[in-house]
Amino acid sequence: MGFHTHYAVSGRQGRVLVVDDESSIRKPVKLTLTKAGYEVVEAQDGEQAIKVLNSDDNPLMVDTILCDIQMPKINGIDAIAYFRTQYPTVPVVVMTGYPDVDLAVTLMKQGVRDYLVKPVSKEKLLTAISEAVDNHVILAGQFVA
Amino acid sequence: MAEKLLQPPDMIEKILSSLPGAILIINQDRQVEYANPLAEQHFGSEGARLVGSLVDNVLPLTESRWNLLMGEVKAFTAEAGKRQPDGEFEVQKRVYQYRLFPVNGRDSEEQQTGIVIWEITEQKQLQDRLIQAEKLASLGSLVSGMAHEINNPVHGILGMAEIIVEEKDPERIKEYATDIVGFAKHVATVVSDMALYIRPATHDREVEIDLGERLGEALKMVRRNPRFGHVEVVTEFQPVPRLRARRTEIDQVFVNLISNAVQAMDGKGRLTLATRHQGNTITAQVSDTGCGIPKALLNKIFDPFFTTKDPGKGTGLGLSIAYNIVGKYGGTIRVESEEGRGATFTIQFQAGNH
Repeated sequence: MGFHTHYAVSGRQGRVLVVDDESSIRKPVKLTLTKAGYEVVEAQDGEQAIKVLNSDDNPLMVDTILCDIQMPKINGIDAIAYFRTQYPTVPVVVMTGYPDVDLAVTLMKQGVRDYLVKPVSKEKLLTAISEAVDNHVILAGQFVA
Repeated sequence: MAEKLLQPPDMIEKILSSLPGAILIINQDRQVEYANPLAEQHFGSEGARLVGSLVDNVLPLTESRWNLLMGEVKAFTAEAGKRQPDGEFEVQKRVYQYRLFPVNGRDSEEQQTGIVIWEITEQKQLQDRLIQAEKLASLGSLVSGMAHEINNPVHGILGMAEIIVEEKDPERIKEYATDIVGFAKHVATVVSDMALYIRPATHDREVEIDLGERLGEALKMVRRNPRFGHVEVVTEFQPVPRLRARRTEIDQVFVNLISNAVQAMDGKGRLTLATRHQGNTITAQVSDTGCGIPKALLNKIFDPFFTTKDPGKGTGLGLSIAYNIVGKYGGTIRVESEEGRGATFTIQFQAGNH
C-alpha cells in the first residue's frame, strides 16, 4: 500500500479524527471543532481508529488525527507509530492527561506535531488543529503535484 | 551466703514484681486472681485493686474476642514454640501487645489463664511512621494516574463551559451544564479516594471491612497508573465475612500487592483478584502472570528494604509492610511463584478476629 494522500475536502475546514476512550473528552472536542467548521470522526481507542482509517473499499481521508495516549486495546503510542508509518502525511496531535516530558520528546521525534496536556482550552485546541490541518493541506498539495 | 538467698515464694514474687511485662492471672469466671505491680500500675485505678475485678473491665477487649482467645488457650498445649502475640489494644493512648497462656496448678483442677502484656507504644509509633513513609514513597506512580483521572474530566468541564458561553439554546445549555456536574463529581471522587488512601492509618478507626470490596478499590487506584497498560483483570469474589481492621492499612496491603503484580507483568498479562471463605478462614488472593520470583529470592521478599527494582523505583518496604499489617490482624501472607510463571500472594485471616 502506498502513501495515502489525504487532502482537505473542499468547502470545509477539514476532517479531524478524534481518538479518545473518554466521552467526557470526545463530546466537548467534537462540539468545539464542529462549531469551528471541522468535520469530526470519533474513535474510542487505537484499534477503532485504525479500523476507521483502514476500511478497505473506502479508506477514510482525514486531515489531522487528535489522539489520546492512555487507551484500552491499542494505546496511543502504538497507534501513533502505526499512523506515522501508514499515513505519514497526516499530522498527529497528541492530547493527553499526563504531563510527561520524556514521552512528549519521543513522540515529537516520531513526527507528532503537537503535544497538548489536558485540560486544553478552546483557543489552544483550535490553534493546534488549524496549524496541523494547514500543514496537511500543504503536504498533500506537494504529493498531488 | 546461704542466708542471702531468697526463699522460693519471695523469689517468685520478686521476679514477678521486676518483670518488664504486666502479668494477670484470671480464673474461669474471668476474675483477676493475681496482678503483678506493673499490671496494677498500668491498668489499676486508685482505690480499687485489680484482684477480684472482672478482666473485661480491666482490658478493652470485646466479648467475642475474649471467647475466641479463651477457646484457643484451652486448646493450647503449652509446648514451647514461636507463637505470635494474640493481639493489641490501646488504653489511654498507650498501645499494648498481649498474649494469653494456660496456667495449670499442680493441685487444682481449675485451669487458670495468664495474660502477659507489654507496652509497644514507641515501636507502634515508629511502625506507623514507616508505614506512612512507604505510602508516600509509593505515591509517585499513583499521582501520575491521578493526573490522568483528574485532567480528563477537568478538560470536559473546561470544554463544556466554553461551549456554554457561546450557546444560546437553553435546552443545550442545560444538557452541557449537566455534563459538567457529572465531570466535577468525578473529580471530587478521585480526590477523596486519594486523600483517604494517603490519610495516616493512625487517624483511622478499626471498622468492619469487606476484603473483596477493598481489593476492588485498590484495583481502581492502581488502574489509574498509565503503566497498567493492557493487563486483563479477572475477579473471583466470593462473599466473605467482614474483617475488623483499619481500612487504610488493608488498602495499603492490596495497593502494594496489585502494584507489584502490574509491574511484574509490564503492561501485559492477567491479574486475578479473588476472595474465598472456607471454614473459619477468609482468603484474599492476588495473582499475576508476570516475570515471577526466582526461588532463591522467595524467602527474602518480605524483608525490609529488599528490592529487585531499580533505584528510585521501589522502597523495598512494600511487602514487609504488607507482612506487618497482615500479622497485626492475626493473618498470614504467603507467596507461590516460579521464575517466568507469575506469582500468587495469598492472605488469610481468621473470621471473627474481634
